[in-house]
Amino acid sequence: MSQLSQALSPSISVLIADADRMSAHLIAEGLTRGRHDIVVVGVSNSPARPSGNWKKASRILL
Amino acid sequence: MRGYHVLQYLQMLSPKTTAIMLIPNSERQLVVDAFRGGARGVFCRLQPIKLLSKCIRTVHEGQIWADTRNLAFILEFLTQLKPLRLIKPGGGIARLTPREAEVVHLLANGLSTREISRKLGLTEHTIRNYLSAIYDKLGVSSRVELALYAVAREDLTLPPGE
Repeated sequence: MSQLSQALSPSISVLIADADRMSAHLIAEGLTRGRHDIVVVGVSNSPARPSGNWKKASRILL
Repeated sequence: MRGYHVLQYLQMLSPKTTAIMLIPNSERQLVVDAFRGGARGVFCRLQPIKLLSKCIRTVHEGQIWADTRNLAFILEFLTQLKPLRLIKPGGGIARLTPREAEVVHLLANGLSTREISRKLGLTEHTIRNYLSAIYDKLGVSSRVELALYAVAREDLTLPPGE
């Protein structure tokens, strides 16, 4: 039942914006490992570039 | 560009997107800046990644993510802010002199300090003094607040005496 509700729940799209590329990728990997409710739509190291991804993301980690 | 500035940029670019600020430690200024910038949560990088997933879900559900210590920083910050002054409805307006009411009318109609001074034949310094007295009487602290106050009260956007 819990697996079913997890599968039916909408995913949360997340963009990670971090000046440290390695740190951002580690966070992305940690967030998505074994989970389906959090989707990392992008990892950005520059505030100028990710404007497209920002619009896709419902949550942003800075 | 620091995270705080990115946060402000993000608010302009995509106001519906909510942000969580990742901070290196629970330093008071970092926490206050994050929430002032519009973050809905702060997450210390030293905490386990599993907790970050929970933080994201919590913020996604519309809640705020901050521990007791961080909330205490926010409350302390709020208590340091200048207290709101309560003005009786209409009480402040009645205290304005005809000249002050004229300044408010011109400001509410979009004139700058320089334009008001030219229109009234006074120096900009005098207009600024008038504004300072008006702010005090009406309990506002900026031109924008004053303009909003005046627009909310139609009688202040009309020329004095009408």
